[in-house]
Formats: sequence, structure tokens, C-alpha cells
Amino acid sequence: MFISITYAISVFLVCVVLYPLIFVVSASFSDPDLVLSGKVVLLPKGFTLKPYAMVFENEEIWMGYLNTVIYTVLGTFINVVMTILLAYPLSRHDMPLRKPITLMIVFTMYFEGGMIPTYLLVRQLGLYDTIWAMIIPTAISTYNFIVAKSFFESSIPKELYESAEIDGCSDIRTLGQIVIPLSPAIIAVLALYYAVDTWNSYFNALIYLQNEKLFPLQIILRNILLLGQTEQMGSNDVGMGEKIKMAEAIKYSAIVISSLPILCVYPFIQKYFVKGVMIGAVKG
Amino acid sequence: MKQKLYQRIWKKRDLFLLLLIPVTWYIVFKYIPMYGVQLAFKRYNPALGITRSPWVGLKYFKQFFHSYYFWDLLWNTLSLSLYQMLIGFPLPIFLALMVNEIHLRFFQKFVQNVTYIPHFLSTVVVVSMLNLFCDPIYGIFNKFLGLLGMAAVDYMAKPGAFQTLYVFSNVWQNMGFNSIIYIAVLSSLNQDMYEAATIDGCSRFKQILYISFPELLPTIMILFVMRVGSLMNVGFEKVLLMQNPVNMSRSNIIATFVYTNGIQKGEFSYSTAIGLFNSVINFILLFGANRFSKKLTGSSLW
Amino acid sequence: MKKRLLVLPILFAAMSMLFANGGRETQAVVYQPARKTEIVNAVGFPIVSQPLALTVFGIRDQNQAAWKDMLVFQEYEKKTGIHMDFKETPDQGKDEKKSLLFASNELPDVFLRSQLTPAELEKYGVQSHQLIPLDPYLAQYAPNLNELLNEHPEIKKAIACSDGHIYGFPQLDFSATGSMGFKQWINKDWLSKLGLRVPKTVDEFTDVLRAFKTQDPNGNGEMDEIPLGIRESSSVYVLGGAFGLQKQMDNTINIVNGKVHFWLKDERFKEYLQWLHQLYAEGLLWKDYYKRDLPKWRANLSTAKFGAFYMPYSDVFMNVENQFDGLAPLKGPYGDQLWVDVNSGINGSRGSFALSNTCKDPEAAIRWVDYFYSDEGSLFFRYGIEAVTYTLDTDGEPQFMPEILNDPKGFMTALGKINLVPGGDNPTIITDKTDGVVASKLTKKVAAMMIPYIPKDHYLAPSFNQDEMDEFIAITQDLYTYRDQAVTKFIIGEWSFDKWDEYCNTLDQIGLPRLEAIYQEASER
Repeated sequence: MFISITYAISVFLVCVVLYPLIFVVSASFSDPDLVLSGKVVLLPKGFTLKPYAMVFENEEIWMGYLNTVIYTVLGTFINVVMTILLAYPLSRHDMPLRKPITLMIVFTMYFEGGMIPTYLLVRQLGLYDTIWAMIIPTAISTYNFIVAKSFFESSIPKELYESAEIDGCSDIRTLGQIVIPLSPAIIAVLALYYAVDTWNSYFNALIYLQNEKLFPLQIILRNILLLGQTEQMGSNDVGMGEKIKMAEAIKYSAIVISSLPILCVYPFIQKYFVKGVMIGAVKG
Repeated sequence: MKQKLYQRIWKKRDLFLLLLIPVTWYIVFKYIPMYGVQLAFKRYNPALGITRSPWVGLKYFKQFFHSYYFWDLLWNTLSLSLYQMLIGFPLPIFLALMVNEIHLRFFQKFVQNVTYIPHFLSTVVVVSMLNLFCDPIYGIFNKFLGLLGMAAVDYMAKPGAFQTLYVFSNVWQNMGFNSIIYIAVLSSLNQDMYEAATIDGCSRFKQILYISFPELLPTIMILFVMRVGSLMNVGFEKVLLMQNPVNMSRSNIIATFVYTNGIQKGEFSYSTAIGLFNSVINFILLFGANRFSKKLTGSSLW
Repeated sequence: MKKRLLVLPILFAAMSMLFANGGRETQAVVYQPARKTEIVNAVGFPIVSQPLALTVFGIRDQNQAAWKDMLVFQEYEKKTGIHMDFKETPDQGKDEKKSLLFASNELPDVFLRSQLTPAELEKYGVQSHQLIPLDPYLAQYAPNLNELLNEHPEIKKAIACSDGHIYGFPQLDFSATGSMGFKQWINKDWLSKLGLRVPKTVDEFTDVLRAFKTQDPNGNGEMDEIPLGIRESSSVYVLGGAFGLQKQMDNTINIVNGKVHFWLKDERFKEYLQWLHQLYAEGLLWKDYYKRDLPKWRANLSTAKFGAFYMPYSDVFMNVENQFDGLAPLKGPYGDQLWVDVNSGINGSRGSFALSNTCKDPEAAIRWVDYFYSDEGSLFFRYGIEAVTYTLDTDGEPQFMPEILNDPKGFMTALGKINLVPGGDNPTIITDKTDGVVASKLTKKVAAMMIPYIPKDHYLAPSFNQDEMDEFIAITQDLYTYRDQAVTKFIIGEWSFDKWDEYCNTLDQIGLPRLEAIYQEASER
């Protein structure tokens, strides 16, 4: 009895989660007229690739894509490195000043100067309107730091450090040769958290970037999906209605195209990722 | 014999070297901007810079508290956060408990992986999906209403629906992903406890209640405290995307108000003052939650 | 032990507040010493005897190409010898970019098409001195603009800030079509199909709208007509002429016995709203009017879904333009017959052109923009180069080349490769000769129908000083929000008119009387 309720609810949940996704994919392949008049419910109707073709032709989307990929790859690399450089020393019990420094860092999660001073700083450092504005101000997430630190604390036994010290291994070499090889799980976790965050972000770009060539994908998407501005919104066009229709239609394909990569990446990291969260969770 | 502090630092200088870059980053990007909090008490003149702009004391705080919209903003922010907390926080726990009960390995993995997917969609995408689904003509929400024989409603245009849309789309998006941590804890539990309980005649349901759940409690409390700490910062980016002129009366929260009035309209001092107010409330809530957690379960953030 | 450690980060934060200087903070600069003006030629072209470069900030409309690629600018650089280093920002996020730019104090030399509001001019000009006064240069370096301003002293006064200086040049529009914002349009084909006369009063208009809705004038067998189209919530305030509600001082103000009077609580306004509510309830008013869905609005216009509507120009619905005609303003229940959406010379924001305190060559910059206020210059600015982008027709009026008008990507997009006109609000002058870019011949005819009904006296908004501006901002922040919400709710029926008194009281509570007083004081100076 109990088991059947559990299974029933699970099936229900799966349906609720999947339906919107399936709908979006179906709508992206359907004839826009049918979509807009509400005839598409689950499966594609009036199969067409036109919306996709339009998206592919849109240069802005490709530029945004490229930018986002650069920011994500470069950014995540820097994120992970910085976080590990921060978490490793502070995870070691023999580290002097460990508690004060950690506290200083965690403090920043709850109190900050605010948008304006940070913006002024970014400008004064000359980062404004460069790709670095998308990477450096968000180089470390304190939350992720805590996760990483907990991971190191719980999965690297003290004895390991002690024997490394006896062997004459410096602390830095210990990091490189012992700790890192033992930590693919946490690296995967950090990489995934940071990559998703960077891929997803639009607000930083909104205030730190002016040159459209640097805009990430989400800003372009925001334009198309939410602000209703597509490239060819010229007025007095014959067939303006047609334009509007296509503009609505490409929303679905745009969603699919923009989400696909990150969804594809996940299965590959999944193995490490789950393990990492598990270890972090148990002792976190 | 305890070595002197500086001697110990010198001994571990390698570690400090590693810390150098990240800590500098914190100082530059987190602590230096803190000096900008002064703006809340000054009338900002960009030509004079922050340090030389004149002091005006609590003027902007007063302006905010006397604003016709002050209580609305406060209420919108708090109620949205609480709503989000009440629904969004427990659901991943239930999901984890439930998934843990699924013994068919294949199905268990399937449920997990499916529920993870929405997390990877960007906020922009999820909000636009919401817009598309709420459309009175072709949105699937209204198709569903149609099935029930009800008239179509554009939910994005209804202030009353805003919070529900926000919270439940969050749930849809993050429930799966947030349950990972609980699932991890549950799967690492020693099964002996359960076996003993079964022998004692305890039903599975009771076992969940008296074994699984208490084991999760420490993790739950820590995450709870951390969530409370960010109560006042509830989903700024998502709310901003979901706002439209029609639902403003409920969708305007402190953070978005700061943004639209402070940044877009250039009222820097005003927005910094409100931001400061926000942080202070956050802090108080955090302290309170931590105390609560300590009293209840003995575990806490500090 | 742990509690004591908390002191550390707090101490650290406090210390950084006291001692940190935020890095290289720029020094306060009030006025840059002007470069020797020898290189500036007093008249004629080129403007400078040596090459000169100026940095420019501006807002790029989505139909405009990158400014450095624009035909008009490229030509103009050859002509003037001044190179403009354009650093424009796209429309999305423009408010943030602009205000953050000022906050950082890293300013360009020139602000072009930056949509500076009176509040911004006051704040960044008078208060923080980041913008410099432009009036000292008018006589010598801006003869065209100077002449125009002297001919229209009320404009000169209106664009001055509280310290008497002018910090921004506006777009001047003396054309008939530009003298008013919205014009009233009605589908004459539908009228004749249903055998109806052009309505003259509010009641007749309502009846016509009802006929549009029920009698399927577009003949497609479906009742898909939308009788009345209003673009957005804020449009409501300028369309109340039939009820005697004027737009003085750029706000919801009537001048009664020489005094500033906000009519937001008047019985007349209530009746106006009740009328609109009735239209909405009967399905005669576009039910999505308040959603700011510009694409839908434009789609409805260009597919002739609206029976009657208000638009400044016909560019958006050019393809179906000939179905429409104008009509004279409606006579209201008290006999008012006014068209109140008046512009009186300034079309757009107050500050379309401004200079920052980093500009070392204000004389050259002023000369650069002054050309656009001349007949020849404004023709060049708005139409481009003769025989290349336009020709003069038999009436001597400029007409664009066919390939531009019929560009497959759209006329506005094609125009955006040439000049800044798409989106408007440029530091130039528009006359009856040059308004043809966006004003079709029909638009001119329609405008002419409304001109006789413009209120005789039109008052421009006064300039506020710092204290008044502070109060103004503090009050209007909340007042406008409440007002807009309330008005929309009354119209769509979410609030019944039982709440009218409560609404009036709230307006008072937020500060309407004080706002009125501020306007009164400022206008008396």
C-alpha cells in the first residue's frame, strides 16, 4: 500500500517535470500558427524546421553563444582553481589563523557593500566592458568555498598529511600530488556549480557590459524571449503580423538551442558529481 | 610548548602563499566595496566621489520608511521568502525520503535524473516558459483550465498569482537538484537500524518517521539556517525578470525596488540605504535562526 | 571564543571603510581649461583646422546601425574634420548604463541622444557639475540654435535649469505634425461600410465603437475587430481633452485662474475614467492596453485590427494607412473639445545633447551640433545626401530613394543605417519640410484636423532647484506608481468607483498638495 503510493507520487512528479519540457521541444518543431492558436498540446503538429532555421540565422544568438562558452570555460577554470587554493589551506587543522580567516570569508556572505560600490570598483580597475568583468568579480563563491572546505576536511585524513610531512613533502606539493588526485569528485561538484551559475547569469552582463559583441547568451535571450525585440523589428513592414508570429515561434527553438549544451554536459560529470555531493553532505 | 604565532605562520608559509591570491580577491572585491556603505548616509555627488560627498545622516532611511510603499515592499519581500521557504524547503526532503524508498534501481535513477534536468535551465528560459504557459490563448495552463471548463486567465498579469508562480516554478526547477544532498545522506546510512526496526514490527512508514528523518535533521538544520540567512535576498534576478507593470503591486520586493529606483533612476544613496537595511534584517534573522537551530538540535552554523 | 572572533571581520570591514580610498578615485573637476580656441573656425566647414577627436556616449535605438557605420556621421566627419569616437549603448539596460556612467565619473566628452531628463540635467549639471553650461557658447558658436531660441523665449526659459544655465539641447519640432504627440485616427473604410458618420461627441464615438465590435466591418466573418486601441497606461492622461483635462507643464495639470491644479482628483477625471471603464467592460477598449506589449500593439496596427486609435505617426501601419483618416477631437459632456497632447516645440527629452566637464573643446562640439539646427543641416541629418539617399520631388519636398523605402528588412532598419532618426529624440530641428521622414502626407492632414483645438496657452514645465527636485523625486516616486496602478485598476474594473474617495485621500497622503505647491512656487520664479 505504502509502496504503491510512493510509486504513484513519483510517476506523477516525473510527469509534472517532464511535460513542460516535452511541450517546449514539441512546440519548437511545430508550425507556429498551430502553436499560437493553442492546438499543440503534447506532440509536434505541422512539423517544421523553420523556427530553428531562423534561430540559426540570427547572428546575435551565435555571438552570445560564443561569449557564454568562453566565459563559462575560462571562468569555471579560474573559479575552481581559486576555490581550491582557498579551501585547501583552510581545511587543514594545523593551519594557523584558520578560524579567523575562515570567519572573515564567511562574513561576506551576509554583509556586502552593495551594487554601486562594487560597480565603481569594477570600473576603476578597468574591467568595465571587458570579458574580465564577467569572470573576475564572480571568481569565488563563498558558498562553494564552504562546500569545498568541508569536503577536504572530511575526506583527507590527518594521517595522510602527517605521513606526507614525514616524507619531506612540502604543503604545496601535498596539494598537487596527494589532495588533488583524491578529489575528482569535489572538482566535478565545483565545476558543475560554477559552470551552471556562469551559464545562467545575465545581471552582471547587464551592468558591466556595453559592447554588444561581448553580450552573453542570456542577455540576447532576454531580449528575444522577454522584451520582445528581435533583430528585424522594423516598422511599416508588410507582413508585420507574420513577423510577430515568427518572433513568438522562435522563442521555443531558442530555448531548446540555448539549453541543450549544458544538459548534454551533465551526464558526463554525473558520476563524479553525485559522489562529491555525497561526501560533502555527510560531513558538511 | 606552544610555538609563538608568527613562528607557526612562518612554518606554514607555503599554505599562506596559496591563500594569497584568493584572500586578496576577497579583500578587493568584498571588503573594499564595504566602504561604499557610507553612501547610505551621504548625498552622493559623483564628481566628489564617495569620500568627499556630504553627510546627510539618516535622511534616506527616513525617506524609505515614510514611503507609501514601504510596508508593501517589506511585506512582499518577507511573504515571498516565507512562502518560498515553507514550500520550497521541505519538498526536496520529501522527495529524497520518497526516492530512497524506491527499490527498483532503474526507476529510482530515472526519477532522480529527470528531476535534476530543470535545474540546468537558465532563469531567463524558465521565466519565458512561464510567460508562454500563462498566455490566455495558447498557454498550457489555460488549456488545462479549459479542460476543467474554466475561463482562461493570464496569470502573469495577476498580482495575486505572482508569488505562487514564483514559488512553484522554483520548486519545479530545483526540487530535484536540492534533494541530492538529502539522498546522499540517506543512502549512506547504516541499514542495520532499519533491519532492527523491521524485526521489532515497525512499519516502513514509521521507520521513515523515526529513523530516516532524524538522521537528516542535522543537515536540514544547517541548510535551513543558511537559507534563512539569505531570506531578504530572495531571488532578485528571477523576480526582476518576472515583473511587469501589472503585477508590480506584489512582485516589487526590496531588492528590485533598490534596482529600479536606485540604479535605473540614479538614486544611489537611497538604494544603498535600503540595501543596508536589507542586510541588517538579514543578519538579525540569521542570528535568530542559528539560535533556534542550536536549541532544537544542538547543531548550528557557529 | 567563537563570538570574539566575529569581532575580527567586523573590525576589518570598519577599517576598510575608514581608510580605503576605493583605489584611484578621480578628482573632482569642475571646468576643464579650454584648449586654445584657435583651431576652431568660427564659421563654415571644416570646423577645426587640426583633426580633433571627441568621445561620445549615446543610446542606440534597436533599429539603428552602429553609429560609427552611419552614413550621415561618416559624411559629416569628412565635412567637419572632427572624429567622433562613438561609445553608444544599446536600448536594453540604457537607464542603468547611463546612471552608472555618471556614478563612476568616467565621462565622455559628448552626450548625444542620451535622453537626459530635466531631473538628470539638474542633478548632473547644477549639482555635481559633471555637465557644463552650454549657454555661454550659444551666441558665438551656435548661431542657428541661438536664433531659434531667441525666436521662442519660452523654450529658452523652459530648457534652463534652476541656476539659469542651459545644460542640454533638446530636439526642436516646429512642424505641425510635431506640435502634438498623439493624433486621433479612425478607420474610414469601416465607417462607410457600416454607413456611419464620423462621430463628433463622446457618446457618438461610443456608439461607433459598439458598431465596430458587433457588425464585423472588416468582413471576415469573425468579430475580431478591436474598436479602440490605446497604446499604454500612460497614454490615458493625454487623451482626456473631451473632458477638459489638459497636459500643462508636461503633467496632469490644468491652469485654473493662474494657479497650478492637478486634476487627478477632479470629478471630470472620474467621469473620464468611468467612460473608459465602460468601454473596457463592453470589450470596446483593447483589453491588453496596459500590458506594455509593444509588439502586439504594432501587430494590431499593421493588420488593421483597431477601429480607432491614437498614434503620433503612421509609420508603423504604413501598409494599411489608406484605410484610415483623422477626426476632430470629440466634444465631451461639458462641451469641451480640446486636443491636449501638445508638445510646443520640444519633441523628446530635454537633453538630447550635452557636454561633460572633460570636454576640452566645447566650442568645436557646439559648432558640430549647431549645424543640425539649421535648415540645411537638419535636412542633411534627417534625409542624408541628395541623389544618394533622397531626391527632391516636384513640391520641393525630400523623398527617400525607393530602395530605402522598400528595403526588405524594413524602412526603419534601412534608415537606421543612414542616421539617428529611428527612435527620434535627436539634437536637431524638425520643420514641416523635414517631418516627412516619419510623417506621411496623411499624417499631416490628420494633424491639421486637430490643430484648431489645441489649448490657446501652453505652459512648459518649470525648472526645480535642488531642494524642490529632492522633494519632487521623493513624492513622485510613490505618487506616480500609485496613480498609475489606481487608474489602471479603475479602468479595467478591478476597483469599483466606490474607492474613488479612498483614492483621492491616498493621493493627498502621498503628497499631491505639496507637489502642486512645488510646481506653483517654481513656476512663479
